[in-house]
Amino acid sequence: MRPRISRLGEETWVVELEPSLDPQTNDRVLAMARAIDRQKLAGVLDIVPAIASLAVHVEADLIDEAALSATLEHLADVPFEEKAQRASHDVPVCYEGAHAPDLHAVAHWSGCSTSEVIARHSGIEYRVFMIGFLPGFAYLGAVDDRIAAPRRAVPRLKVPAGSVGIAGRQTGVYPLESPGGWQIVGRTPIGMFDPRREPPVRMQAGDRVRFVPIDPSEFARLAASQEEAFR
Amino acid sequence: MSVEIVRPGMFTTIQDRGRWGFQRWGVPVSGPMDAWSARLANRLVGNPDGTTLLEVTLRGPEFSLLRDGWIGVTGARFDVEIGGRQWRSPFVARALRDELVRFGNRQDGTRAYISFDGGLAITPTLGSASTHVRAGLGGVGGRALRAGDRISLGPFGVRRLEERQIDSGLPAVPKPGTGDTATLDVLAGGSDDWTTAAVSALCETTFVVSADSDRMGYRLTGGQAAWPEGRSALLSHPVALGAVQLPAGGDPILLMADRQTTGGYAQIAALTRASRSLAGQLGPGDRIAFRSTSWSDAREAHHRSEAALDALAPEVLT
Repeated sequence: MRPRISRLGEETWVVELEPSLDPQTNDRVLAMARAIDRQKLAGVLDIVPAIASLAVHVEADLIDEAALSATLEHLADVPFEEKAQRASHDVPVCYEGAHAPDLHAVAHWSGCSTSEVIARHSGIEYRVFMIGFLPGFAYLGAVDDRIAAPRRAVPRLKVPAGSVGIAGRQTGVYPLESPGGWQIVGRTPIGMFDPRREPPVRMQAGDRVRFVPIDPSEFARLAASQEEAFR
Repeated sequence: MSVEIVRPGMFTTIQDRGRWGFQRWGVPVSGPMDAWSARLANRLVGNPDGTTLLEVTLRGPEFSLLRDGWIGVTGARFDVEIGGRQWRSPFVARALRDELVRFGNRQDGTRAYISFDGGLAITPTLGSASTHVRAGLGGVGGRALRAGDRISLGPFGVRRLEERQIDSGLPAVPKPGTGDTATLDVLAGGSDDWTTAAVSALCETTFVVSADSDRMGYRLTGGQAAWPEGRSALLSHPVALGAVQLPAGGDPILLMADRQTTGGYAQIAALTRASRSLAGQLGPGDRIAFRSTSWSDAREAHHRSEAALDALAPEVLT
């Protein structure tokens, strides 16, 4: 479909494609975000690609509306770049004990054993569809249908940093301690966000991710060596 | 040379114009809740707009300067004592070295701004000094101020300043506890039937800012709005400053300075630029009515509010 362009208030322009958790759609969103970025329009404050849409936040007093509008109208013609060099990440995850408070609930929901939930969650290469919600929070998809449990009915007030959650067909790592409603099936000792780094995030939209099961002693060892690494 | 915090107040944070440019990595923007008043505060002490200052919430701080300097206070109206002299914000006044600056009663509004000539010297994180407490970014250790904090001041301003109390030309804000209703102008977030129905429902209802409202957003309760059916969970998409989100259960959320970068609820409308300042002055218990406006009226209201600001204090150019 052609991108649908709309405005949300005076300083946000929105471009939407067909809403689906689809890698090709997401590739187009990322290509469009880069195309807008390349224009280097004065007054653009932020370009935010999401799963199947993007936003351009502007300072309305500075933006040339005609130029921005023309740029957005031409997005349908943005060539479909095959970005070859996508990073892949192996993320160690401990799926045991206190690190995985919702593992049994997901097993119960799916009718699988806990070890099968772990095998299914760690057996797929995921794509990073977007970074959002919290600094460095990567939305990964798509989770195996069988274990794609919905969010918890009652969100937790505190989810520890590094917790790995499932929310339907999405999975992701909480970069910071925060409230959250995703089903927590494990925890990684590695950091996802460090404002002192350039870029400050470990993963970028379009990257590939695999979860690698580790035991609690490996978790503790990595956590100790990661203290200064990326957090 | 620095500011020494004796008492921090209820929730006092360091803000500048916000951490723009990093939302693609999930980094929230922050910045002042009432940017209009923050700009006035900076202009009063001869600083450019966006200079680093303090945002005070409901109860103000006590502090002293470790050099002679100028301070500007705007936003929520507070009685402020400086070395025994009484002021009522908004004002700009001289504060001598070691004189105690003490915030007292609040007349109206929720958030006040304290500017210092030369600004606060904070090493930026991702391009900004703005504090985002949940993400632990900016300010002093990514947190609200505490007693004993010392914050460095920037170099002296070169401009000649005069003490001044401002009594007119200010936007009206609801008086706390009087049940006043703040009317905020919004622009519809779409022209389809569902959004149109949702915006009319929004504008026919009076809401109350609930107790679990903060710098991220206000949860609006008490409305018996006739929301249209359908459209609950959407794929996560970017959100905007001042957007009104409508979760499946009703009770809209007004997204404010510390909003997350993306969300999953429909955004049915967004505040006009001119309405943001008043929105930033609301707190738990305040009442809100929304009024749908046109793009041209929104633009005119923005120009009027910029003109009012310029009339009180012209922009300081670097």
